[in-house]
Amino acid sequence: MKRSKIAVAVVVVVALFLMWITTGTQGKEVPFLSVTELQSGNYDQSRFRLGGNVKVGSILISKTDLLDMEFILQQGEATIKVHYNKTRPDLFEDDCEVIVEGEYRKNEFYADNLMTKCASRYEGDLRDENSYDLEKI
Amino acid sequence: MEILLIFILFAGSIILVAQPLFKPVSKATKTIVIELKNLEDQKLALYHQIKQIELESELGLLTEEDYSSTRFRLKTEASGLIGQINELKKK
Amino acid sequence: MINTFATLGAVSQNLALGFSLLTIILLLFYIKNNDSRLFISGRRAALISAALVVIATMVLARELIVSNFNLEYVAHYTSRATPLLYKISALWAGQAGSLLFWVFILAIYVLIIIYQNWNSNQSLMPWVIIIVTTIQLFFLFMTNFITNPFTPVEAGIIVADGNGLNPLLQNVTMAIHPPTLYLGYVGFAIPFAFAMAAMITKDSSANWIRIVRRWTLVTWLALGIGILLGAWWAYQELGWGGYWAWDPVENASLMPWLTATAFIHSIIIQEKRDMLRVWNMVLIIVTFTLSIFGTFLTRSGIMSSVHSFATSSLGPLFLGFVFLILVSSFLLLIYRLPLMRTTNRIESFISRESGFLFNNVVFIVMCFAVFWGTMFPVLTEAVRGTKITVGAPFFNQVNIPIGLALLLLTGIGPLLAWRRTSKARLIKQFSWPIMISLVGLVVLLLIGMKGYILISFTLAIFVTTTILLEFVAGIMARKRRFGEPAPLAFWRMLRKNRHRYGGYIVHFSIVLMFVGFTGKAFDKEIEIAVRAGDKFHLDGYEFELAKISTIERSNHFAWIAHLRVTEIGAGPVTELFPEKRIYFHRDPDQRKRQPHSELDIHTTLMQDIYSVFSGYDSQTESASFKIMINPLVNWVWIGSYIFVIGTLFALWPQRRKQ
Repeated sequence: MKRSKIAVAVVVVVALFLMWITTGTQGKEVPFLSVTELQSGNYDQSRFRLGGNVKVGSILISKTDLLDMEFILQQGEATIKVHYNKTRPDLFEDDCEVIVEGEYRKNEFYADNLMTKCASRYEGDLRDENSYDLEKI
Repeated sequence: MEILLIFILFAGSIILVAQPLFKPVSKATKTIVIELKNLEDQKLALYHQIKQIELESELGLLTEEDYSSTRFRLKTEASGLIGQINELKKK
Repeated sequence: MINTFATLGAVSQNLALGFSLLTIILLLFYIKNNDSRLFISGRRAALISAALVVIATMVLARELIVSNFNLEYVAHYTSRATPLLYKISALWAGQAGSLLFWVFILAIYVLIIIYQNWNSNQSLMPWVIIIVTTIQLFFLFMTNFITNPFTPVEAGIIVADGNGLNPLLQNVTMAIHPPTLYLGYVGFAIPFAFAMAAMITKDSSANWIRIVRRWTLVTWLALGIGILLGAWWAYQELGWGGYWAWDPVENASLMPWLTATAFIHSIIIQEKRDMLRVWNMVLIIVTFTLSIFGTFLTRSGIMSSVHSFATSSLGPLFLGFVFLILVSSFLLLIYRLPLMRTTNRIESFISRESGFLFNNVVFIVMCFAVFWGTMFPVLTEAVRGTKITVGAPFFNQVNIPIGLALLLLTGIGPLLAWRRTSKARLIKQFSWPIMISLVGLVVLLLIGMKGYILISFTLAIFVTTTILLEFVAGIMARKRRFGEPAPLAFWRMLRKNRHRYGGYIVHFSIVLMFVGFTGKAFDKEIEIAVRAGDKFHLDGYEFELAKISTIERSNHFAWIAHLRVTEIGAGPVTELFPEKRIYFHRDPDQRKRQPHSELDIHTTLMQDIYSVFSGYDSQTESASFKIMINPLVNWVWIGSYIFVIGTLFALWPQRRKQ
């Protein structure tokens, strides 16, 4: 008798928490899209994530505000201009792989979160002689 | 040089592993010692538990009747063990 | 061609694999024939394969130290200029090395348990050795055939100097963070092996729990320290001003820690009341699986994360192994269910048992919340076709109430009596804590706290009071019984009941950490670009960039900002010197130069003033900064120290009475 009461209580508590967790994602969902998907599609959400590489030579930093920056994000053939005016990670540079999160307005992307995945220098193919100091005989 | 080293490593390991297989089966005295040690360990664990419930009853975490019944159960178990230990020691 | 030592390492690694296999075969024969010679022989094989793993690891360490760039791994992760400490830490910096390091820790553990149980637990040990050796076999298979740290560089290439270790990782904390995490991850293999061995040998008693209890606590402590070191490193080095980002890899280490915490609580019930046998099995299986899963998340690159390595072929193998462990151990559990039934039941809601039960439920729910958020991108991609991420906002929103529920239980649970708690006792135990927390609540309301913050601080007061009263009650009990003066009673009480009072110390440390977490709600932040002489304001403080100086050190060039901090209306507070560094600034290859922001923090008990020198343009002489005021952060670290002290206190061996 007592046992079933406690079992019921546990089930109720677990069920409530599970509902709380699974509904917790609502409003917090940020789809991870490709540039072409973003440019062609019509999405309900206002925030997105994009992944790609920084086009070489495309980083443009404002002369008046060191934080204000734009660059071209490249995903294969597709490109998009990204604005960002917060602190940049140390590893942010040309050709580096980045993930940006933010809003999409008039064909341009306004990011408020920028993550780099620039481990390539330390985690790459050893035979890529451009990035590694190798002497071939 | 390298091949020799590898050979020593390999042969040495194999010999160590295989060696017990060629011994006669060992006698039972050792198992008694092991058994004794196990019993002693269990006895100590029981003593420890008795100490713990003493504290818990002091703190009011255990009712008086629970305390005395658990204590009785543990003591019986311990005296059983002591009996077994004495049996073994005689051998 | 690689040298003699490297060959020795590679061969030891091969042989270790062979002897692991031999161990399993010999012990299975022993179990079948019951010929004790087979057991001795199998145990030796296990010892030898563990020793071979140790040799292989030592050799790799040596090659890293002497910079043998003929090994691909050494060339990848070290350079001649890498300091010695980081040459050694390169052992676990890369994929192949870290997997070998994983087996190395397991091998050490195997040596320890075999030594500890040389003459005891003879019925369990054969199976324990078989299970840990199987785990070892899996990892050795990978280091031998999939990602071998002893692979030589491609023929015809001579490496003049290696790549070196990422400067971000050249930090003492970062050098010891992975090994402590690994000590934790790997350690759960041992209680798991004992649990499985107990089930296989039809031993349904709490014997295995007594054997692994201390072991589990050590492992749990190591994992906890690993997590906290990671948090501390992120706060001190990464420069985003926080210590926990809900990154997949962080989550991967938190999940097994949560289930292990549930486990170390619920085994108390099995020891005392012989209940929850099945549940404890489930917990240890899940904990161990999550440990393997954590290694997998870190090492496979399935999640985009700051920590993970490039995508590799390890993924399917790891997932396969995780699946195998789950299926086989749960099948075993189901098969043994009839043995695991007990007659003891929880008799009342208001009992110690039910307190533990709900604590377990909440820990598991929290683990699930972390799991759900971590796997959400993977799940949505499988179901909806689009990868959808949920970031820190999800984790914070979901976990705050769960965490507060846990904090509440931390206060209530230890005061409840076994089986049932009488009304009189409830009133006696809780009237003071409730009254004091109510007073605290009113004060907090008056100074304008609300919402979760109010609840969190009130609960902190409540839990602290209950813990204090427990200490007082313990001292009073001894005074009554033995007539000891209070200080002596206090000391003896602690010494004689290390588990209980160590536990309370840990509970108190968690309260302190919660205070620190709550401080996060008051964080203030500014990101700004200024020139020397400029002033700016944040949260009642004025910051003045006095000047920027430069300095050249052995492996980097640095711009140092001189920031004068003044509390408006109160006077100068401190000076901060955050740096912008360029590592390898002399390297002719531009791509190898690496910028790094070395931050500076002014710490007090109330708050941190956190400064990052994020960018500098030498032409315009414009400098950019990120400044944060982070209240109460220090309490997270103070709590961490107390957490370690409390756990060590509980672990300290009780002196045996003769």
